[in-house]
Amino acid sequence: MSSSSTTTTTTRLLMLKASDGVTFEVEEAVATKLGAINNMVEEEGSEDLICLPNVNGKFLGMVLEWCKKHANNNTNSDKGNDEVNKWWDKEFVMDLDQNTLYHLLMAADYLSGTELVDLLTEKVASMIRGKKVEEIRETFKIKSDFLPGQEEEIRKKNSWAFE
Amino acid sequence: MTCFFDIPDKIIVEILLRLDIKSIIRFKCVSKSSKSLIGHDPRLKRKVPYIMFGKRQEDDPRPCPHEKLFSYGHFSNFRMPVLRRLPLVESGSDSLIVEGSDNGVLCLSEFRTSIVYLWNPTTRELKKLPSPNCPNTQFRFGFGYDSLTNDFKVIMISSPFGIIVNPTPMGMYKLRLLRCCEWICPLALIGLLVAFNLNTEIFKLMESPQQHITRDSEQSIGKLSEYLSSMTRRTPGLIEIWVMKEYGISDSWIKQVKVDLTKCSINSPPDIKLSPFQSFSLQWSSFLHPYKDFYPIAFGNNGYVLICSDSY
Repeated sequence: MSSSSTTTTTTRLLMLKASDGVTFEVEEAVATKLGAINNMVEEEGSEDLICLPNVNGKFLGMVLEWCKKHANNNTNSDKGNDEVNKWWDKEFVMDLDQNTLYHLLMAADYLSGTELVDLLTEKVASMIRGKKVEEIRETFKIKSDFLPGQEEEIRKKNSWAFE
Repeated sequence: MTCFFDIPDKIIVEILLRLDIKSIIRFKCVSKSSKSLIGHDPRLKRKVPYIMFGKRQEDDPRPCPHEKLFSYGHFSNFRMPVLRRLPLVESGSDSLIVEGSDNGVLCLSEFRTSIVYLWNPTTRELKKLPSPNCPNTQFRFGFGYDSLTNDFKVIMISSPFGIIVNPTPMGMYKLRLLRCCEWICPLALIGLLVAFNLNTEIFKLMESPQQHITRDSEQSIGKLSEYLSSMTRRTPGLIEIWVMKEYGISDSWIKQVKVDLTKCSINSPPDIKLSPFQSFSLQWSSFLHPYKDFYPIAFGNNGYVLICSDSY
């Protein structure tokens, strides 16, 4: 799988069209990091325009940006690239707000971008891990809808988890 | 703005599966929907430490004062053991012996009294089982989960043939066992294994892979992949792993591998092929010392084998 910009291997370009009509021109090797697109390319073969009615342009753009970084890093087959990918992943998720996280996760899931789903679910998990119930509610703006006593009952049953 | 957790349940489950059990329980307290989600997903319910064992001391009359327990989570590997202390019981933890573990629950016995406890190290629940009422009897124990009754069973075998089957009232640990529903007790001295089917409660005798196991050789029985397996230490540092290719057929015991651990370098652990069943490589964990004697401890359900050095 060695290819660089100087060789004449023709990279096929795909057009991806988001729900709001925004289109992206991407190399096939980048777009096929997404399982759903990979399947479409394999099944339909020659189709170059792929419509994605469930993702809007803003988030499709972000997903593709992530794919591009990973596709580029993977072609230089080096162990150091794992580190580069990790570093870049960290940057990618660092400042995402919850609204963006929500839509990115939905998009990544819809497009079967397994690695990206892993990255994003881990990011959300890190926002819950080791936190108190009240902190989780505050972080995600969730209101408790338990009836009086219900929450206490769970706490009592599992007191070991609240120490 | 929409709440983040309006996201489909299957994605929330993916998120929660990355958490430790404590964090999952706390998340359960956040709202009604988080509670019902966790209550319904079997993968979350099953998320408890999975393979657990301590060092067995079957013939040593002096219990080890620093009995330690190793436990391994579902997703962690053998390089990251979690050490936990045994629970405090009336006579003190020092006299507890780990008899077996299944689905995150440990079966412990008290050395002098043979009182049996079931302990869930994650929730720290401890159950004392009804006493067998046979003082001064040495038992061998079998412990496992019966998928038919959704409950644990403890089998106590006293030498030579007295047998008590002790179903336990443990409704709160309703967890599914993966496949194996038979629990094996080694009767190494006569070269036989006693198999007990937890569903039918029927015993069965099987030949041990090595007919002439000496008294000082240590044997550990378990499940390697889907096969009943035996791990034996013959001489210091020399471990043999046998696999019963056809369950119940004594002739189908095959010696899979022989490892001389004293000759292994700690920097380049050998790759061992267990064909045709699987291959695996030896990993040294921090608690393995080279050039010491090794004892077979347990088979992990992910195909790992744990061998402990005598420094522990």
